[in-house]
Amino acid sequence: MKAYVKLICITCVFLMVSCTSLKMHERVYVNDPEMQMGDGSAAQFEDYVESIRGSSVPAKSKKGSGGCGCN
Amino acid sequence: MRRILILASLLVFSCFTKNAFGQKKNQAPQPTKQEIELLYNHYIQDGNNSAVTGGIGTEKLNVYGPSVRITRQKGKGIWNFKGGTDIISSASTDNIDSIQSSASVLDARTYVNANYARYFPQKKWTIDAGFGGSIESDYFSYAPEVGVTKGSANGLRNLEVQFKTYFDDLRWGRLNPGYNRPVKLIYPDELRYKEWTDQYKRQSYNLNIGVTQVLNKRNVLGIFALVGVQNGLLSTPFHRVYFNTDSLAVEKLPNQRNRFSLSIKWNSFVGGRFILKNTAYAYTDNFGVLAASLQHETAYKINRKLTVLGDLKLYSQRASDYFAPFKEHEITDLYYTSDYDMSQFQTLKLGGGFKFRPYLYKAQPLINLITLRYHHYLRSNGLRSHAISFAIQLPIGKKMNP
Repeated sequence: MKAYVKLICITCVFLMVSCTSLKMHERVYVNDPEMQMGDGSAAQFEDYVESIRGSSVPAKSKKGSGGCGCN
Repeated sequence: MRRILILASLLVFSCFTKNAFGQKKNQAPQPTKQEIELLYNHYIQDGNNSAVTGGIGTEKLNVYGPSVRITRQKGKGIWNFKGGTDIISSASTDNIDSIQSSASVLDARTYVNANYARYFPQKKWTIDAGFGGSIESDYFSYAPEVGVTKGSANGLRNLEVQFKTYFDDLRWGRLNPGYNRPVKLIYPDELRYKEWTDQYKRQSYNLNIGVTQVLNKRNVLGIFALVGVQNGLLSTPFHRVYFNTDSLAVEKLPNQRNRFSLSIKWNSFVGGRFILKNTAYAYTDNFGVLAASLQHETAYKINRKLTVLGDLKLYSQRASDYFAPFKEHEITDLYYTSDYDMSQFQTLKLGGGFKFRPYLYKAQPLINLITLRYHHYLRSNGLRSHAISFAIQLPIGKKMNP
């Protein structure tokens, strides 16, 4: 647990110091739909199935419970 | 607790909708964007470690999953509605009863979810609230959720917090003719001579916290944490457990599960055509499960319209403290399961697909996006599956400006 807390703290510091400034015309790559962190509906279905067939639930996953283990 | 959450969700929901539709008369009408997504998922699975038969026996399963999602954006508010049905043909479900047919039992899971998000541009806040539910013959679940996202002044960093809850009832009978109401838990046929538990409800509380940071022109990093707590009946009442004494019981697990998960995502645009997406996550809980995963996905833009996808995922899991294979549990064990989803295993997932995004300079395209994905999943205990997803997104209603 302590390792997780350390990792989170280090990452937060990293994020704070890595602030950059981009002009609007420089954001063409980061604004590309494929660069977004969210998953499409098709990928969400795969996450859903995997969260059932494995015992873990990844952070940002749509599934936390709610039925259909489907055995 | 549950009532407070539902009331809070409804209150937030009503405030947003009031703001969204309570436009002032002198305000210029804002363009409406509407989209419908039709999605079909097909999942095929086979294996020989079904928990219904105590860790042995078929896991053959087919899921046919059509769904529809409608998104309506008006001004600074976005409505999202999703509904669908998973039609499930499960061979192992046959084995709950003593009458074992070669044909598989058909079941269905129907679900809906509605969500409203409102963006406040001056403060860079987005607040959202939603409500979902699902029903099966032996399951009913409803799920209120709220969330907030705060963007930085330069738009390069987002902090998001989501709180989602599930309230589940595992009693059977709602969709069964002659009953049409929750009646009882379903145990394996030969174990129905007594009640194995006096609980039939399960509550899940999931808090997701995430930070997304644009590092430079081509790199975005995201860090996400999940803290989850589950209470109530966490075992599945029709899972059998065979002890090393040949006696038989219904799966039994503790009534509380605490989960923690951490994911790191790094998306990188390389050259003019390649997007590399890397994800790593770690997971632990008080059942003794420890899991880690690495995933890489490459998206290659052949041209402005067509993107080809390929991905690989490695996953490793340590078994729960309460897991043992068929006939390996001691009769003195306090908790026990032979569900191989809680066993030690490694998995490999390989897949690919494409996205087609028509682009017209001045006209409205008939289709916004077509996605086709296929995945093959291999588990070290022999379970294999195939998943195919096809999605098509269409604009509806008023035409949007290009």
